[in-house]
Amino acid sequence: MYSLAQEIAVALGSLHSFSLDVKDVSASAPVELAGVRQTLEDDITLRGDRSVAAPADVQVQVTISQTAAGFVLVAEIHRGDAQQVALVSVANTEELPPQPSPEPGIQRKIIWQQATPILDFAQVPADSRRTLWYFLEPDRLVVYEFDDGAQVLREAQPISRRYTSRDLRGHLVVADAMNVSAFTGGVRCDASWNPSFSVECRENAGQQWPMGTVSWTSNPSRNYFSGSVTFSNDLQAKFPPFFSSASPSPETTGLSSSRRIVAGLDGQTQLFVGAAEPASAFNGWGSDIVPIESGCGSEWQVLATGAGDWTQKDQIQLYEIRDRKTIAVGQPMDLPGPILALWPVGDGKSARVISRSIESGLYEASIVSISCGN
Amino acid sequence: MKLRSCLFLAAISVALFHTGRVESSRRPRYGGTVRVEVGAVLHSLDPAGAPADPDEASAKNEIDALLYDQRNPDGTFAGVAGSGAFHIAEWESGKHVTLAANENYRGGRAFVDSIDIEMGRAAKDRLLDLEVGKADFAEIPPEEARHAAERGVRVSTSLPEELVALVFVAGHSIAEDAHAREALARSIDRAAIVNFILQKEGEPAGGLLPQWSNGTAFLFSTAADAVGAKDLWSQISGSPRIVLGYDSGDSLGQAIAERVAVNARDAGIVLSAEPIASPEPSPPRYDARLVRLRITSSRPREALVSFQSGLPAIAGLDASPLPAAASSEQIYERERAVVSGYRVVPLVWLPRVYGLGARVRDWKAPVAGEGWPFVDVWLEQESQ
Repeated sequence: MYSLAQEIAVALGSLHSFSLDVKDVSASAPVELAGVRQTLEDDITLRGDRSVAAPADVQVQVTISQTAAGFVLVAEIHRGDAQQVALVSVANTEELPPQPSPEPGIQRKIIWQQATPILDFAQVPADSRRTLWYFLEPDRLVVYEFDDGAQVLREAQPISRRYTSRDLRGHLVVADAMNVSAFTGGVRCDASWNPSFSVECRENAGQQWPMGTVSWTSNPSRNYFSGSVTFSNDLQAKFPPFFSSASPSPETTGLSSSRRIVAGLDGQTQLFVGAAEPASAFNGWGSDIVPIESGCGSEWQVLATGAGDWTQKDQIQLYEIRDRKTIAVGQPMDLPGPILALWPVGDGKSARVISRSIESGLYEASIVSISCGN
Repeated sequence: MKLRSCLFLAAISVALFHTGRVESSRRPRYGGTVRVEVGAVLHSLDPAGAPADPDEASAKNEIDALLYDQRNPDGTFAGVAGSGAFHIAEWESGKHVTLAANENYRGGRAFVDSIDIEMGRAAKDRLLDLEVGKADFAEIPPEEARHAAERGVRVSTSLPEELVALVFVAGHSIAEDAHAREALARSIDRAAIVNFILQKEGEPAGGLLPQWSNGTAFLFSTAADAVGAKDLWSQISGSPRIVLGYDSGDSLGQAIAERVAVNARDAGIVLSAEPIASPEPSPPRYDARLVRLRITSSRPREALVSFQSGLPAIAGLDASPLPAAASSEQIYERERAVVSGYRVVPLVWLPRVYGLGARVRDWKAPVAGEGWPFVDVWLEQESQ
């Protein structure tokens, strides 16, 4: 803005009065035109002992224009029949620093936004005041420490993947505040504070990703799991290859954990009840599902993303599974872009969501939980 | 009319029958073959040989972008064919080429297994194949976009990236008359070309670069001024006449040239629109010709440089290369210098229009300088 004022002031030369109008042809400039006009008028006036007047010696038309790379401020300086043009480019911010975001609603709390892709995140209290936030990105593990809400530390360590995928997935498993493991691209990376932050990566033999009390076998060069689910007693159950899967908690639902829903690669979601063949199948769900213990009712409940693709906005819907049928509970929650990851939080009562806003292009980490309503 | 409706319903029925029910999903799915149809006929993918025909050059460029991982600064492809997301699996000269996904592509394997490209398909055949589900992807002439959408084809449109302009031939007496050039430029109703010929699929052009490129397109007037044109034309002595040439195989060029002739006549300008025979006679028998120039980069400086290199040299114009870090203002000044002499008269900007099959997912229209984004496209599975 000040550069443009400088250019206009130079163009005005020794002339003493000018009029200024500001218009926005971009229709998306994040500014108030009246404020821009006032700032420019004040600055130009100060730069040459000039005054805003009507009629004026010179008419200045400032236009806010947009390009693929950002905004352009264009000043058309009219003096009689002569016209002069001054331009100042304002580039888009290529990478916004991550910022904690305000809570947007009661069901989805945005934790973080950044321009770099996020595969997974974890928020771990270090003590009563300090919190550690871990963010798994495609090529590094980043940790922020917050003390009473103020960032006091940021560390990042690279991750050496063995495989890549155009839909790279990753998963964080928290042992405690000081020890976290990352699973992505065929490797397992163990991060610890001892005393400084370090990350050690090695090939993930067997490609097992821990998922609560079981583990899934990942296909490291693809974006899905092979269908093998391994229990803590090393028993394995075989399902069709899946993008995600959910099983009920026996403690809260009284159901056997042999029940499992898998979101298959063909777009179908299938319910298995202890047999190799599905007991039922349902369409219209997206690729990611998580079990959720909402505390609202005693049925087995899951959260599922919506259908479509990554050029579209997404939604999360709560479902109950009763008698091999699914019932949508309440209204779906809309998100401003596709959900790229949906993982359960350790307490089972909420889910971690990674999405990308179509409008801003920023990746958002958020926590989704269920409020029962009264 | 009834027969036409019945045929249309029949076409829809065939499409539904052929494509089956598409299952839902969200996360990209691996597998499948994208069926692509192009109008061009390619007889070689030799990296050393660039076809002279613009459609063939464009198709080859799109295929090369899938085969090569890197480009040189001048936009040519670097390295080995097959280092990109795909490699050639089958080649039948002039008929079809099949590209298979490169399993070891450093950016990650493409979601689709292969791309089957059928050559030599006329625009009307491409449109019909999209309608009945025989093709997953084909480019559609911009002026056909609305018609395609009305026929139920999924249509995706890029930002404007092709400039249609009128270029005067240096040395011809009428082309050397500044009043004649300006009179013709002022007489043209660009909005009418966009609204009626392009069916609103395009934008009037007053400068060389579209608004999204340098952000200054609005500074160039696109308004028609028949009165001013008439006044300028009346100042020319003798019996002036302009011959406007267009490529004989370019139906859109013909329609635009004929529209320009109508506008010119309304301003009292004597102008005839005539096809340019192939091979082109030398010296040219036209005083001005229609040209179509495609932007090769999303960066305004590179786009303007490539435009200038595609246009004939303009006497008195600064031909020195723009500095690599040219500011928006420098780019605007150079652009203004090119068009202010009316030797080059921008008319309209055209987008690229793509027709997509129902099962194509994660499609994002490429921006100028990018190729077809088949590395990130995936296909919904059809139920049997």
